[in-house]
Amino acid sequence: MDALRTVFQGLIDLGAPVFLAVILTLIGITFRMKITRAISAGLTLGVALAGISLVVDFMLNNVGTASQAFVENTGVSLSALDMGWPPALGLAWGWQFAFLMFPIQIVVNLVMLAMRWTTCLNVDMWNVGNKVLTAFLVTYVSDLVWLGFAVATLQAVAELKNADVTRYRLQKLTGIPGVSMPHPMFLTGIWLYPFVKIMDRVLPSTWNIDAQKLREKIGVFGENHVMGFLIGCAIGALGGYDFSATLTLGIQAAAALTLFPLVAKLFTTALTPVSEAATNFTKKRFADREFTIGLDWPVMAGRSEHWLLMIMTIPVLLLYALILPGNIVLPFGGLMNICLVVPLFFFTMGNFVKMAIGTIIGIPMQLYVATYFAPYFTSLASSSGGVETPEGQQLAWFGMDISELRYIATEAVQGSVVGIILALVTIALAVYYFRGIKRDDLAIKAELEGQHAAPRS
Amino acid sequence: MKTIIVACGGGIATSQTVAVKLENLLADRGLRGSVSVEAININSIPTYIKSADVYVSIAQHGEAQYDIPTFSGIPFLTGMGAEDEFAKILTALGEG
Repeated sequence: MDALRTVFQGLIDLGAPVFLAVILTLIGITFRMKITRAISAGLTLGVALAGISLVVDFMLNNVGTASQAFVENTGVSLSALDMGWPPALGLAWGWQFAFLMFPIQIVVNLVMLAMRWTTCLNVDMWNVGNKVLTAFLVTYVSDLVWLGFAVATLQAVAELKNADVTRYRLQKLTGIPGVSMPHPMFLTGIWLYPFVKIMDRVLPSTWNIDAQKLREKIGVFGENHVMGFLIGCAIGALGGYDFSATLTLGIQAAAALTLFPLVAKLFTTALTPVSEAATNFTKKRFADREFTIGLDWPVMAGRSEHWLLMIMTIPVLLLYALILPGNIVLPFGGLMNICLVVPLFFFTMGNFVKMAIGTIIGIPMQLYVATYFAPYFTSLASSSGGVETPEGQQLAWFGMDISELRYIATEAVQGSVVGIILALVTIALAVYYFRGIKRDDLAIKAELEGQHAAPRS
Repeated sequence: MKTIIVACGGGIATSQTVAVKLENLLADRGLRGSVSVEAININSIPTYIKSADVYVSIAQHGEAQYDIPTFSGIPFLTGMGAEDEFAKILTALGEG
């Protein structure tokens, strides 16, 4: 045991990229991948982490420096720079215990399938990173690794249950049968559901707009380089940079936002073979069963409402960031507010007006949670990416998935009164939500079956 | 060199998963050098569509129509019907 611990510690001491490369190679070999392909996947993962560190560093060097000038120039104290989801989840993979989440998710899924507690086979391996992040956050405050993974396991279970009770809703929205979405962001439904029910009561569902046409006009602002350039120029101008320096910063900010996905996709390249092996492993054990396949959210991304609303609420987000007392987060990488807009789309069945109201109400909460977690992400960037933020500067993630639930979980495990009260409220809301959403889903199922039955009769 | 584009919310996770699977299927037929697969952000489709030969969509429902042959990426995620969809893509690329 001691020898094993020494070897493990020795590996960790090599640094996160090397450690990750070795661990993924070993996992690949365990799943009987060809050794050369396993090594290739391992190396790619190391490269992905090194790449993410490089781009976060680049962002800190130009946008970070400019944001400090902005703080000095305007007196508005936004000292934590938002990096958005690609680097945040990428860095989570660099946490030393990250890889325990793989077997945990697979075992949780196998057990739940075996006990018939779920029909969802989750093949979305990217979002294993989202559970790693939960485990990291809880471990960070409690110093208890087991507690971190206990909360992350609870999340994995809740995701699968949630996928089950929303599958017909998804089918109605996408037209694709046999799939479901075990993505954590839809657990935001627990807190959203009562609000959506109220909006359904007071707002006529005919209040909607033609999102497609409008998006064609302003869709270009949703492209990373355009968005990055504009926000970079704005930060530079407000930071008192001269004309050419402002434009240069615009290009650098555009580069950071363009490079994030190019580097972050390497995580997917590395993890896909292992994900395939794990899926085949599970499928073989339940060959006679009917599954729904659990996918990531972009199966709904064809609809324009999401993108239109995200683009349109960027100015609202920036205004909030400037005026909310106590907020220290400067939104940058997470300007496109996926983790609030997409659940709102899902639970309002794509009603733009309700989505917009929900987003405008929800952003302040997201900013405060991002402020709360800024020291955690600064520490994560340092420990897994080797990114050292300068004195007075922090890193943050605005628009983190299930911001509210992660805040409540980390407060509750520390035993704070607020945390425990909110956790109890969450449990009550969860009971209300799961009952209600399941009833809604069965109604949608009946409606879908009615449509299918009609042409035959 | 022919180009397949795959798009999702960020060009990182879902689209890249499909891209990796397509690349493996292409490699199995020795086409790795003649067809490139690129995962992109769904908001960048208008930029990339001009230089692409085939678009593999994760989310056709509600999506705008484009002028190039479009196929579903879902079979590559679920594993069901992937061979059939891939055969259609090859035909569209003139490699079938």
